Amino acid sequence: MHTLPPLSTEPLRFVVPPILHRFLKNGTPVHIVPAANEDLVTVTVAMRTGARHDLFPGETSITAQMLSRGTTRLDALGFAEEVERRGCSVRTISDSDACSVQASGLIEWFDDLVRLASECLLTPRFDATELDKLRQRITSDMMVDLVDVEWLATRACALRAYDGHPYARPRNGNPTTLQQLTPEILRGVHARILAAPRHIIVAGPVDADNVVEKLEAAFGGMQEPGPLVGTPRSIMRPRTGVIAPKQDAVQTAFRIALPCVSFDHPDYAAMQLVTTVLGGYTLARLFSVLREEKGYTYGAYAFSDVRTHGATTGIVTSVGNDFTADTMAVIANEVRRIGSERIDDEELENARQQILGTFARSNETPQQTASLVWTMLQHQLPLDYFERHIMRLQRLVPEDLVGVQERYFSTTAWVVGISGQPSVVRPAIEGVVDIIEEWTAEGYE
Amino acid sequence: MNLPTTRIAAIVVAILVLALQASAQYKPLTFTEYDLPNGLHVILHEDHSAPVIATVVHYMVGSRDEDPARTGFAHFFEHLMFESTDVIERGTLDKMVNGAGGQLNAFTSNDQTVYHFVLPSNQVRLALWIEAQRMRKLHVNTIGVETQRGVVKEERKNRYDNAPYGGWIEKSQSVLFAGTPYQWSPIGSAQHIDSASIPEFKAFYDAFYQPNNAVLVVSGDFDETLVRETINAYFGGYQKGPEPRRPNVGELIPLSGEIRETINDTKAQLPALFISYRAMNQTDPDAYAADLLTTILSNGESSRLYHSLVDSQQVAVQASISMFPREFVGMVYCVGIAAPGKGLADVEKGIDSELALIMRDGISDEELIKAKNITEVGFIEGRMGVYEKALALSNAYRFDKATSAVNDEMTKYMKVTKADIQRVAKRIFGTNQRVVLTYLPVKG
Repeated sequence: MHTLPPLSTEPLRFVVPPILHRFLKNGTPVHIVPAANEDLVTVTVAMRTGARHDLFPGETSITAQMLSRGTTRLDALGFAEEVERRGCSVRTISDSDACSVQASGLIEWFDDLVRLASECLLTPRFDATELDKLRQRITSDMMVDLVDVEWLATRACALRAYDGHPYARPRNGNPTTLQQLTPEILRGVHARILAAPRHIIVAGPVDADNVVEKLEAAFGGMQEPGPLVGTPRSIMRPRTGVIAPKQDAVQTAFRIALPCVSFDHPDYAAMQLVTTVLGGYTLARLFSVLREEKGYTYGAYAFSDVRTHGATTGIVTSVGNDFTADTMAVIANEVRRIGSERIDDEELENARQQILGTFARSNETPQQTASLVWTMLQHQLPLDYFERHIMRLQRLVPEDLVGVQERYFSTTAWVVGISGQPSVVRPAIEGVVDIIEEWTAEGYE
Repeated sequence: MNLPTTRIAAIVVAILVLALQASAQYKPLTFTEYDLPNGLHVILHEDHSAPVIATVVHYMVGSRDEDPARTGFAHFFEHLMFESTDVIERGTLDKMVNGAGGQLNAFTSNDQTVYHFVLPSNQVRLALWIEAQRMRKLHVNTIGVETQRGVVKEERKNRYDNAPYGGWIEKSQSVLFAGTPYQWSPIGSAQHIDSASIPEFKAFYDAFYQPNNAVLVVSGDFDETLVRETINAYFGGYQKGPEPRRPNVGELIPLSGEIRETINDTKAQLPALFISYRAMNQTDPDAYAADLLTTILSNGESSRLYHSLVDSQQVAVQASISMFPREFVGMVYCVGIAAPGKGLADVEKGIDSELALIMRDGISDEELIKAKNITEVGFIEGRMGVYEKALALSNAYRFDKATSAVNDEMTKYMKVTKADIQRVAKRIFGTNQRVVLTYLPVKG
C-alpha cells in the first residue's frame, strides 16, 4: 500500500472561458459566454440598483418580485403558464446592490426567453390583488424567520455591522412597511430600476450576432441609464454585542462581523487568504476546533461579504446551549491568534490551493462563468480581474499577510450578533464586547 | 376542401401542442465500466470541458441495512469516514483535499452511503488514494467515534429538534413502513449511537465497506490509462469481502386506514399538514409517470396545487407534493402550510380535491407536455457538472442494474401518456391508507 498521498505538483491549468463583448444601440453592454456543447441558455438583465437605494424599506425587493407576477399582456397565472409550458424559468432577483431578471431554458426557446425577460422587465402589471397575495406569502416567511435563531442572529449582527446604513435593513422590509407598499410606490421603483446602469449577460450555445439582433429588438428601446443617488460606505460600531433573545432555543447562533475590504483594494487577495485560513473551508481553524476537535457544531465558517458600498468578514456557527460560552471563547481566541501570529507556509499553501481549486470548480458551466462576469461588472472591476487576482494570490507569502492580519482581525473591531436563551448568551459575550444591546424582532426595528 | 370548424380548431391545437414540445436534446453520457477481481465496480466518464474531476464511491449500505437496535450507523459512518486510516492522520483528510483545491462531501439515505470529491484534474490520483485508504484501512477508534457522536448530535438538533416541523418525516416513515427497515430515518437514534461499542462499529465497517459492496465512478478531465492503472494499484490489492447480510424489506403491513396525529410545535409559526402515501419503488416503470404527476401538481406557479391553494383560494402559503424514491418502496408526500389566519381544514380539503380531480378526470395534453418540458430542463441542469454526472452513473448501475440506463431515463419520461398519469394517480392516492400529521404552533 502506498503510504504517502500522491499530491500533484503540476500547476493548475486554469481555463477562463472566452467572453465576447458587444453593445446595443442604446449603449447597453452585452456580454456573451459561448458554450457550443451545452443545451441550456441563460439570459440575465442586471441593473446596478438594489435595496441600498430604497426610500421605503423593502421596495426594491418587492418590486423585483412583482415583475414576474403579471404583465400588461398577461396576468400572473398566464405569465407563469407561458414560461412553464416551455419548461423554462424566469426569475427576478434582488439584493442590496442590484436587481436582475434571469430567463433560462433549452436553447430552442432562446427567442421566447428574450421576449419573456423583456416583457416582465419592461411591462409589469403591478396588480393590487397580486401584491396582496405576495404580501401574505412574505408575511408568513417573516413569521417563520422570527423563530429561527440563525436569522435572528444575522439581523442582530447586521444592525451594528452596518450601523445606520441601508445594508442593515432586511431585504423585504418589515411586517409594518410591507403593509404600506402600494402599486404606485412599486411603479416609482420600477422607473428607477429601468433608469439604472444595466448589463445583459447571455450564457449558452449561442451565436453572438444573433444574440445582439434579438436583444436589440427586445431591449433596444430602453433609455440610456441616468446617474444613481450616491450611497455612503457602511461603517461598523465596534465592540458591540447584539442579543436577539429566544427563550426556548436549544441552540445558540453566532453571527460575527469584522472589517473587510472591497474586491479592488490592494489588501483583498491577502484578506481572502487570511479569511480562508480562519474559516473558509473544512480545514480552516474554526471548523477544525469547533467541529473536529470539540464536536460542538455541524459547521463553523468565515467568509467575505463584499458589497459595492461596504464589506465585512462574517463568522457563523450554531452550537448547543451548553457549548455557547466555550464557543465564544474559542472564536475570540482564534480571531486574536490570526490577528497576531504569522500564518505558516503550509497553512497558507492549503488556503491558496483551496481558493484556486474553488475558482476552477466555479467555471464548470457557462452559467457559473456568467455569474463571475456579473461580479466583475457589478463591482466595476476590469474584465481581466480574476486572472490578475489569481496571479496575486499565487505570489503571496506569509509575510505579505501580516499587515492584513493585524489591521482587520481583532476583537477590538468586531460586532457580535447572537441569538439563543438570554441566560445562556449574555454571560457568553460579556467579556468580548464593550456594549451589549438587545434586539427584539417583533417589529423588526 | 372545407374543413369543419371543430376540426380546424383541433388541428390548430395539435400544431400548437407539437410546437411547444421540446425535442429531446440531452446528450448521452459516454462511459466505460469494468470490475476488479475483488468485485469493485468501476465506471469511467471522460469530459474535458473543464479542468476538474469528480470521484463518487457509492457504498451499497443505507439505514435500511441497520440493526433496528442500532439505527443511525450508516449515517454515522458518513462522518467517521473523514477521520483517520493507517496512513491518514486525524484531521488531515480534509486538509489534503482542501489543500489541493478540492471539495468533499457525503450523504446517506435509506439505501446508500455516497462519498464524493471534486478536485482540479491534476489531483485525480489523490482522490483515488484517499478512497482506497478509507475503503479498508479506516481506524474505528474511541477518539474518532466520540468526536463524531458530538457532531451527529448537533446535526440532529440543527436539522430536526431546532427546526419547525422537524420530525415529520421520521414520524411518517415510522407509521407507513412499520415492520420494515424503512421505518427509521438515516439520522437514526441518538441513544443507539451513544450506547454502541467500538467493536459494533468495526463489525458494521467490515460488513459493508468492502470493494464488492461499492461502485467507484471517476468523471471529468482525466486520462483513462493513468486512472485505470491508479485504480488497479490502489484498490486491486484488497480481497473480496463476504457478501453483506441484508435485512429483508419484506411485505408492508396494511394500515388500518388513515392514521392521524396532531403535534404541538413550539418551533412552528404557521399550522402545517403533511400527508404521506406509500408509493412504487424508484425502478418501477410507473415511477416516471409518478414523477411527472408530482410536476403537474406542484412544480411552478401554474401547477395545480399552487394555483388552487396558494394563488386562487389563498388558504396556503405552500402546497406541494414530492416523491421520496427508494429501492424497494417509495413514498409520496404532500406538504401544506396554512396562510396566516387560515386553518388546515381548508388546506387538506384543497389538496384532497385536487388529488380526486386528477384521479377522476386525468390531465390535459398541455399539462403533460409542460411536465415533460420541465423535466427535460431539470434533467439537463442536473447533469451539467462532473459530480452530478458521476452520481447519475452510480445510481443507474446500482438501482437500475445497468449503467446504460443513465441514457434511457428521458426516453422513459417521454413515453408516459395521459392515461399513465391518471392510472398512477389512482395507484398512489386511491386508498385511505395514508398518514396525516398536523403541526400546530404553540408558545414554548
